[in-house]
Amino acid sequence: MNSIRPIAWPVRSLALLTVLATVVLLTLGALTTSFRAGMADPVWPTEPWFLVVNGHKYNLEQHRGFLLEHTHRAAGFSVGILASLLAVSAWSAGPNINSRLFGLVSIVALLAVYGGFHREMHVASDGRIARQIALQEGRIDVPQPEVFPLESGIATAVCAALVLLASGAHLATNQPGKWVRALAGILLVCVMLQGLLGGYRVYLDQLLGPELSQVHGTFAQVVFATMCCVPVLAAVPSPERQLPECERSRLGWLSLALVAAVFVQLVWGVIVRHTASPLAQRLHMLTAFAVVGIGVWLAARAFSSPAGRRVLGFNIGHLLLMFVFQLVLGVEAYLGKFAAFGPQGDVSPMARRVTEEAGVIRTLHVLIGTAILASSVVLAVRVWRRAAPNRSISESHSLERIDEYETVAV
Amino acid sequence: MISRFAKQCGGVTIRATELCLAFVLCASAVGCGVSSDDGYDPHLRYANRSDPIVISVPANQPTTAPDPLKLDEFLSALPSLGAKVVLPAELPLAQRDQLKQSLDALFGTPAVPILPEGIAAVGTLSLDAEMLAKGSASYRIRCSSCHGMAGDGKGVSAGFPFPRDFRSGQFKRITGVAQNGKPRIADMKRVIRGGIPGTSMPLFDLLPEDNVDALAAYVIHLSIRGEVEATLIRRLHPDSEEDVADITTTARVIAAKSHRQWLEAQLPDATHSQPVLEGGMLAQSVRQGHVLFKANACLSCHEAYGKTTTYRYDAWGLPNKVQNLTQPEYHWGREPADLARHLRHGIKPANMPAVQMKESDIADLVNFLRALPFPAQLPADVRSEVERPATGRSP
Ligand code: HEC
Ligand code: HEC
Repeated sequence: MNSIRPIAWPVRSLALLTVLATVVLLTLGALTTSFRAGMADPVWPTEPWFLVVNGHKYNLEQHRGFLLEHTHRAAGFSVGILASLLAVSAWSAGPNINSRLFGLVSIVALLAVYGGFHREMHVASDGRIARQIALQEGRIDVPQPEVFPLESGIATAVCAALVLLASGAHLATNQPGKWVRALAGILLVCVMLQGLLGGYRVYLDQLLGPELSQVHGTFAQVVFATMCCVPVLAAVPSPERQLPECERSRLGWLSLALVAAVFVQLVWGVIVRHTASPLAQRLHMLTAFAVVGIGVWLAARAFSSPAGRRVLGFNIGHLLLMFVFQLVLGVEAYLGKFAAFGPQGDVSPMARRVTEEAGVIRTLHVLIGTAILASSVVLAVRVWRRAAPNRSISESHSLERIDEYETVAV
Repeated sequence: MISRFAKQCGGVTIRATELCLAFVLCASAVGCGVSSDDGYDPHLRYANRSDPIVISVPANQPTTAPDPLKLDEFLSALPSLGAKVVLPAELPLAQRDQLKQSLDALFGTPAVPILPEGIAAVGTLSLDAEMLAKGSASYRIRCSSCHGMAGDGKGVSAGFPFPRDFRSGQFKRITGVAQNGKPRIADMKRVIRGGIPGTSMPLFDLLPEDNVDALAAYVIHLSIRGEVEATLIRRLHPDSEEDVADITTTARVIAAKSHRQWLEAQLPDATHSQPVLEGGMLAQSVRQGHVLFKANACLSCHEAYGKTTTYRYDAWGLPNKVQNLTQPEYHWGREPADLARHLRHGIKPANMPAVQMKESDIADLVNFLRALPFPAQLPADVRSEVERPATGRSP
């Protein structure tokens, strides 16, 4: 059975598990921002098991932000592990020995140097704290440690570039399962980058302020949307789940337009969340109309043909349902943040206290927004995924046939 | 026919997609522009103070710290526990408006902070408009989430221990001789650079010097403004005995007085020096320090040397944790001179009393305190007493 599947079931399960773990991670991350706990622990890096070892020293009821921030970090670590396993397992079953070697070696090298980089960051961070304690003790001759370990930073960047190169080169071949393998490689780099963005958001807070958290928040959406494509591409679709060519030309560009519009909408959302910028507030509301407009246009087109209904019906249906929820949550989140009376009315929206309900509503609004992006990306993949035009269905269980299923005509 | 229709539709969609992509590009460009402004919104004004000014705290010490999200509820319950407070909301509305106008005229807005004329510098630290504007922009992104826009210590990310409320003009890390509640600029910069271990106050050790200066200048601005506001609210309150003829004139007088205190605070304390002891001499001094520690009622607050978690009201009417002296993480420095100063002057805002002692006794107590977190440095008899379980009675 495995021999005719381009992607073995353990890899598919791992991909699904990674997506699930990332949902937990995103929830914790969104809560961290909603409750303004991003700087609850100004020290980074910390061990992922920090709370398990040190939790008893803190009264976590008084430090809810601390609890959130550290569980978010631990969840990020778990997703990192899962993404590494996914990349290694996806690449270790490649049919072509050369690309398999290149891919695996660069992935393992990346994991090794990234680990080294983290260790050096630990040393640098400990050095900074030790220096401050020395200053408190009156010793002023302790030098400031290097803030950024340059050599291992460059080594990590080079290995990451190699992994991307291996993934890109693999895409140019015609091997079955190439999309899953390439995406797994790209995803690993993205997950690492996202982890570093989160870490440096904390580490460099004093130099950059909360600015980096906006990049961290936006990139999270991109990573998650990419991640959701992996299990979709790893499953072998039955022939009746293919869109006929004429449908593709009717829906193709529209599906991409939806992805673009949703992404833009999320960028505005991130800025509203992190800065309450007046311009972003307006754009976020206006773009909502554009997103719903494109979504409904796409739905109308897809539902007008039996093939569209059969292949995309479920996907579009739940996308529309999420639109409804999202609009309601958006209104609530907006009122909760920008409408205030009493003493809270005298301060700027970013400086107002976040009540528990408001924080939960904002978090849900973020999560559904992420789900909409992921769902529209998956929709686009389904639309563009192409079966071989001139092969007979009877061949569909041969290896070559499945090879074609993995061809995405983007 | 159908295919022609499809083609036409395809053309429209492609154009729509192109528009969308152009929009994405513009959006990203605007996005970068939108998010990288760094000062306060120029329309923003400092809010009227609305939280109670705590004059005296309840007689019974608190048993726990309040939830930072429910601080307002906690403060409004204080009078029922026996605290004396002044509520800004009890001022007549017209007076509150007048107060706001005067304060805005004298202190400007968060984006364009100023100080009343005559207040130009503290020591070598300039307090001119340029410096304050730079400080306010930096403060907005780095400090306001904890210390609040007006410096009230009630920012969105505030946790426990609560961030400093600058509006009372009282600080804890003070190495000047005057001991009038104001720190030296060097003290404040040391706190900003090094953070406060054991609290959420982070380190800002990577900031350039001029940025830290600007932050210190802006904290002074917030502090003077807050002091003026609080003092005026107390005097304008219907129950107050004092008369305020003209709000702006009185505000200037109060600001000038506060500024004078800042100036006086800058003279450094004569450095405390004590002989460095070793071996048996040190053990003897630590033992003597332990005796003094027990004799001076230190244990009445630092129960079981602070191993028992206890809370006491501080000058802001908020529960403050009594320091655990067996942990090496002190908030305000473990240098002998720092410790000696805490003993000689107490830590006023924390209501820790000063002790009257001769220099050699202070040196012994300092030696004991420095050894306390490290059991290996304590003589065996002292260690057995210190290490007794927190609730245990002596045999
Ligand atoms: C994460 C929250 C947080 C942030 C951000 C923060 N502080 Fe603090 N700060 C605190 C806390 C908490 C304390 C008080 C600790 C105590 O009293 O034990 C404090 C105390 C202080 C003090 C008083 C020291 C004294 O001697 O009493 C100063 C001054 C100060 N902070 C300045 C700043 C400045 C300037 C910034 C921005 C560069 C800043 N803080 C950012 C939490 C914060
Ligand atoms: C009325 C209660 C009280 C008494 C009596 C008292 N303390 Fe404290 N002490 C405190 C509180 C509260 C703090 C916490 C200060 C703060 O906010 O950081 C503290 C803090 C300290 C600190 C730590 C300063 C730092 O850097 O963190 C030392 C050292 C100390 N006390 C020593 C003593 C000694 C020695 C005595 C006896 C002479 C004593 N205390 C008596 C209440 C008290």
